[in-house]
Amino acid sequence: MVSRAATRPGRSPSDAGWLFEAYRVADASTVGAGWQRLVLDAPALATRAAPGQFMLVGSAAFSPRASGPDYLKHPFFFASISPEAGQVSIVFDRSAPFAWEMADWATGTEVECIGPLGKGFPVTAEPAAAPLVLIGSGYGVAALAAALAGLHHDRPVALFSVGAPPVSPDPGLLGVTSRITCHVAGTLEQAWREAAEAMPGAEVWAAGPQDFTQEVAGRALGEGRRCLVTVEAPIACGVGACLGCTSAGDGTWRTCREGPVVPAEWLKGVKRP
Amino acid sequence: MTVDTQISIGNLRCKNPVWVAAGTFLYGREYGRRLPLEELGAICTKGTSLEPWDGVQGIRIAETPAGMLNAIGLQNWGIDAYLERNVAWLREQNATIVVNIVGKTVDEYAAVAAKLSPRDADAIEVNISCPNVSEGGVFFGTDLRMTEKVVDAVRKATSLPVIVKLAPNTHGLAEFAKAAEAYGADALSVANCIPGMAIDIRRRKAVMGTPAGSGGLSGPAVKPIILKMVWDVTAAVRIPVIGVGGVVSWQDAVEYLMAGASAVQVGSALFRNPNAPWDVAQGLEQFMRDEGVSSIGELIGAARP
Ligand SMILES: Cc1cc2nc3c(=O)[nH]c(=O)nc-3n(C[C@H](O)[C@H](O)[C@H](O)COP(=O)(O)O)c2cc1C
Ligand code: FES
Repeated sequence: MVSRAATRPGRSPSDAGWLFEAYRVADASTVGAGWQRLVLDAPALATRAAPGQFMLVGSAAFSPRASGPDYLKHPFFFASISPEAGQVSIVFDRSAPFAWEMADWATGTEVECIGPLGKGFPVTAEPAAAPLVLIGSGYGVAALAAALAGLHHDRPVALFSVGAPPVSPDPGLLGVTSRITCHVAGTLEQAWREAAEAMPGAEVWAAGPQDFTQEVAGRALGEGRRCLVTVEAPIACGVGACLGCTSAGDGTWRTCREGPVVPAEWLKGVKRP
Repeated sequence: MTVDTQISIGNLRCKNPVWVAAGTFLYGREYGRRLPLEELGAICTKGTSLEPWDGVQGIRIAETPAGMLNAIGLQNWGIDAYLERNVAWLREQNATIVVNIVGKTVDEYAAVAAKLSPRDADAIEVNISCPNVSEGGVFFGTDLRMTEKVVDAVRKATSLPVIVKLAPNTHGLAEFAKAAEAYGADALSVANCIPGMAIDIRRRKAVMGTPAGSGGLSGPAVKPIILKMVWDVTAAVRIPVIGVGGVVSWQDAVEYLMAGASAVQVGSALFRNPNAPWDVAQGLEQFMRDEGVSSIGELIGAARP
């Protein structure tokens, strides 16, 4: 952990709740089909991040290019959080427009991060015994894998990836308890049916692109299930200061502050551009 | 050597010429809990209206080469919410407070200004230049007669220093600057975001959520354009000018000062670097030491013939 960002003397970082620091890429690898995983040495961040929260990631120096977006940092869910190792990881689609620079970051690259940001999944606050279904698509599966790792170990959990998962949940975890199962489903319809059979009436947490989480929210509400989902919006500041990520459904929220994990009820009446 | 970084804008005394720009800093808490607001020259609040405004429904942010588009549409909770929730906290931080105000009518601008006592604000910045609302905002800033009316009404409604934030998309910016000065402005902010747009080529539609599909461009991409406007406007008026647009580093701030600005505002650079305004203030002070400059006054307009 080095650089300008870290050395600026400030108040106690807890005043803001988030850190602005530079981290070293400890490992960069292509995982799954077209997904890139970055592990960062980020000890202070790893002790305060929660699954479902996110961070903004960008190059330490402004690197302009002749064409295309290059100005902002970009938001990523934590795909893993390890206070013991002092590391966090993210995964992203190598072909996404924001990845023009990130896809080439290798071990040793220094990057700047702002985080942890927003509200995550209530992993430790939740009752240990209640059954839980996690349904993710794309990058959402990575966020749910982080949630899975943070849950009470005796909680019965079924994790569904709709489509190929970018990362598999930590295999070590699956050995902790026989009450955790992981599944890959072709469609949401299929995942929903299997989940209903395996764990009728379970609470649902969903993560991924908003078209996907919105559909999960609709199904869960229809069946009267408790449900938390992630929401998306273009993010500029990430800390609640610019009102660039405001969304409206049943109420109005800043995706970066009151989200990105919100109760399914909030999505009632939400309009997607 | 000791350097004096203080500046005056009308009756407003600021510790240094580095402010934060309206709308990128809300009412200070998000960034100001982390680093001390009292170290900045001033903070400009989010544009604030008489009643709460919802803002734009739909996409509000798009990243562009060396910049970004925004279409927030001046979402805010209204002036009463500002007075109830934010003033006390900002005062505790010893922040120098510039309240950025907006309205849909001349009377609304005046009414918001009238609600601000010297306890609630150290100055008022009149935003007649927001490109993202259909009523108010830039409608006032691109019509000379309306500019005069708004400035006149706000001037009569308050004893606080009045700063008028000009629109960059007018012909004859100097005329607008002179009009604001003639009707009692104490200073000018030059300038607001430049109208721009982006197209989603897969969906074949404009990205931004405003009815016109446009937004306001800010960031390094606008700096050379706004720098020239500052150069031109400072030649046209006697009142101080504040440079706003694409300040990312202390070097940018020095350029604005040398072009004639008395202060600068740092906006979207915060999103990349939440330390940006503090870094700019520190870098500027170091530059003064390195160059043997003892007061900001020596830098203001230094590049002008
Ligand atoms: C997200 C966002 C919101 C803004 N909201 C306001 C506002 O409420 N009132 C205003 O006068 N200007 C507003 N602006 C304009 C900025 O104050 C500033 O003029 C502009 O961003 C250029 O500075 P920059 O290049 O440093 O960002 C906003 C800009 C951004 C990026
Ligand atoms: S991204 Fe700025 S308020 Fe959420």
